Amino acid sequence: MVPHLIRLRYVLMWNSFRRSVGTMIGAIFSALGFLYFIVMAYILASVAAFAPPEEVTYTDRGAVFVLCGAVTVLVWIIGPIVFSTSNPFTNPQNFLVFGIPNKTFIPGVVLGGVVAPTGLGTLILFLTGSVLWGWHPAAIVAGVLAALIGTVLCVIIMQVIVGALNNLISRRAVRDAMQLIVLVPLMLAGFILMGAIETIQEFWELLPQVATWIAFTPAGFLSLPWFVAQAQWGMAALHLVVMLAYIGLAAWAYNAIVNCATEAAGTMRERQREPAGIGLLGRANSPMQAIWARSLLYWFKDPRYAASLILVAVFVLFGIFEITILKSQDFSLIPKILPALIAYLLAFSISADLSYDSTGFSLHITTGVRGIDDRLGRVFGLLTWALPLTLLLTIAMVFATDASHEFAAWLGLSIGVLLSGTGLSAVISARYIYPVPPPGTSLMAQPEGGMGRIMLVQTVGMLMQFFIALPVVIPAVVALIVGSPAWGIITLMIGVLYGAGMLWAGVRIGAKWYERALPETYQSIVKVAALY
Amino acid sequence: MCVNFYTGTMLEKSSLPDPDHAVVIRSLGKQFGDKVAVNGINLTIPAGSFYGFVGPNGAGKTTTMSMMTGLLRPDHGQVWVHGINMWESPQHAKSVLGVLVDGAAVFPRLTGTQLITYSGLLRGMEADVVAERVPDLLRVMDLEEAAHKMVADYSAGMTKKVSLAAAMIHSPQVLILDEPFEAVDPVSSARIRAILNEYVSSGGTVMISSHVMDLVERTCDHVAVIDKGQVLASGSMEEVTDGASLEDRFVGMVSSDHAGEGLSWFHT
Repeated sequence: MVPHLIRLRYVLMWNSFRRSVGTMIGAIFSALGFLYFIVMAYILASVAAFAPPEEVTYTDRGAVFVLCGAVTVLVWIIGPIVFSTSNPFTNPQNFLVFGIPNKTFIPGVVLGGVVAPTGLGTLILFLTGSVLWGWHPAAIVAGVLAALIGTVLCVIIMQVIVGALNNLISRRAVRDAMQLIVLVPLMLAGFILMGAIETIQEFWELLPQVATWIAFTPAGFLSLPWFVAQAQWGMAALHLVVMLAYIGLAAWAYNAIVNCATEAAGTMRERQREPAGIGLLGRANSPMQAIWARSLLYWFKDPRYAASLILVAVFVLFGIFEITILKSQDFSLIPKILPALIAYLLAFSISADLSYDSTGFSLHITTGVRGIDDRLGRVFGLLTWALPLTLLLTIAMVFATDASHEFAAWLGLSIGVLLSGTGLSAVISARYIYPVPPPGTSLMAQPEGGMGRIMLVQTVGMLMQFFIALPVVIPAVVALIVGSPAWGIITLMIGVLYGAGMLWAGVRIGAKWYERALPETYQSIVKVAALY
Repeated sequence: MCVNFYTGTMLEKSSLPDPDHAVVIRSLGKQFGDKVAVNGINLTIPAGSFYGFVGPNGAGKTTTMSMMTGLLRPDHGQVWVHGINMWESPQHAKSVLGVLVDGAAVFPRLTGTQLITYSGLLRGMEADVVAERVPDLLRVMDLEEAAHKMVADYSAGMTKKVSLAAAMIHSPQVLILDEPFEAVDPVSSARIRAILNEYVSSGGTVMISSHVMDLVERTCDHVAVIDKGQVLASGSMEEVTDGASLEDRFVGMVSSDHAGEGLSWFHT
């Protein structure tokens, strides 16, 4: 049974490749990225290995190594929460009907996780721990042992935390909220990192001490070769015992979670009541207005769209933070660019509209909605609030940064970026379907290996959007560098006129494409929906 | 395939379909890669009939129905709905149809009321007419209590019923329903059948696909049996069943001999 569960992972992966070439290409890209990461880690480890211990002390290399291990386990935990449901093994309920005893199920899942591509990659990454110390046989053995323990702990801790969350978040309302909350720290990660880099000098001196604390948490599994290399045998022995205890504890917890999942199967009930009334749809009186109203509703009701709103809020908060607290001259450009950047992201956000509809889009097809109604409804659903928001943010930014002489240029840039980008999205979303989480699944659910494909499509889309915005970006840059009000007015005029023109063209072309290839578009939706 | 293609083009030119027929299908074919899903089929669905469409899994039922409703472009062949060519004037043809797509998601973040309203408005109906009909539909589908709950929280049967209501709101001339009774409770199922019967007796046409032979035999007056992309039999129920039960006729037509031997070890 254990080998069977291990084989199942590879069979599932291979089958998903056979079904979609895109998935395979995505997986290859992900694998290449990961491989690059491993190679870099080994190069760094080798550099450290050949350096004399007096120059790069064992304390320093070990401290960095232990912290890297702690970061890896965080990635292991956060990854599945963010991309949950991608892997059938994270939810024991998937195996409910087979009645596999826990005694075989748990080792099967854990070992399967270790020999799966991600597990093997992690193991190889952790094995740098036996390179790091140069020729030091005891540390090499300890490095191999620590890598094995570390990989097993990563897999099992991930299973425990995701399993616990799965039990917790069976209710839709809770799940929706959770997904949005998890997003915030992720979005802030970049800013946090920036802050961390500024204080890195002080951090570096504290590093060995921090690493010693971490060494005895479940995330400190890579400390074994560190202690051994420093000949701290007592610490090493204690550490090993603690780590094995953690594995035991995690296995016990996982056992409890599997039991809980099997006993609670199917007993979750939705208790939430929705408010009465039909809301905005009650005001619509044509197909276009209906789509407009529905799109607007979805911005607030569907967590996949609401996530974009949270992103905007985070950006705005960041801008306020930059202006009021940091008052840093180095960063004065960042808050100024924010309104245009938000406009850029909002315009891009509707490029996946049909993908988000998933097979629900069949309703638009079978009711014979005209392309122009579909395109206009969705575009208005965004612009109704995105245009005022962009204007408001631009005005607020100009006042806050005391840049009223640049007002016309920034306003022109924001409007031009928003409108031209929305126009492009109206074309893209009419024909190009890419894998997005279908309605009702996790916000960031990805099909196996689908991540690379999405990144590819989104990068190309965002680049195209940038090129389309160039006619506004160039005069805006000129206006800001030269500081001439005349160029500012020119930017504003181009922003409004060019933006409106691109929007009009995008809607017209989008409508044409929509009608010409409607059944083909639907079939690619069906194909993508089947990936999940 | 080639032969079918030629007969297809000849039919298109020579015989215009009778607009009195609800649906006319000629030489309809679709191939996915090497697999021929629908192999040039012909069907005529008389107006005012309750038409059953039966076949084993993978026979081509959903593929055929997708090509009839504008969801899948046929490789060749034509579909006319009351004389309107689906693939030449799709918007016009779709206005005559009400469609239930099997296995398709809906817009789950809308409430039941909102979803049915949305469907009506997408059809270009007047808002006040829609507002009048929605409560009626919710009542007959027994969804009044859940009217203001999000469809995301509906059971499979409730989702089926709300989709059915969404397909019926514009009172179309022809209903094409893929697996309409799957997962629907017996009380609702009986009520829906009663409504559909009344609709048929007033001149409407219903086409349903189903695996449940008994249900099709009791409900439908016409039937077509499809297997491996080909129509094995079609016509009125009496013609097709020919004295036997539909299930016996169906199994006799589609089963292959070697599969019927059973499991030698499956007994206690």
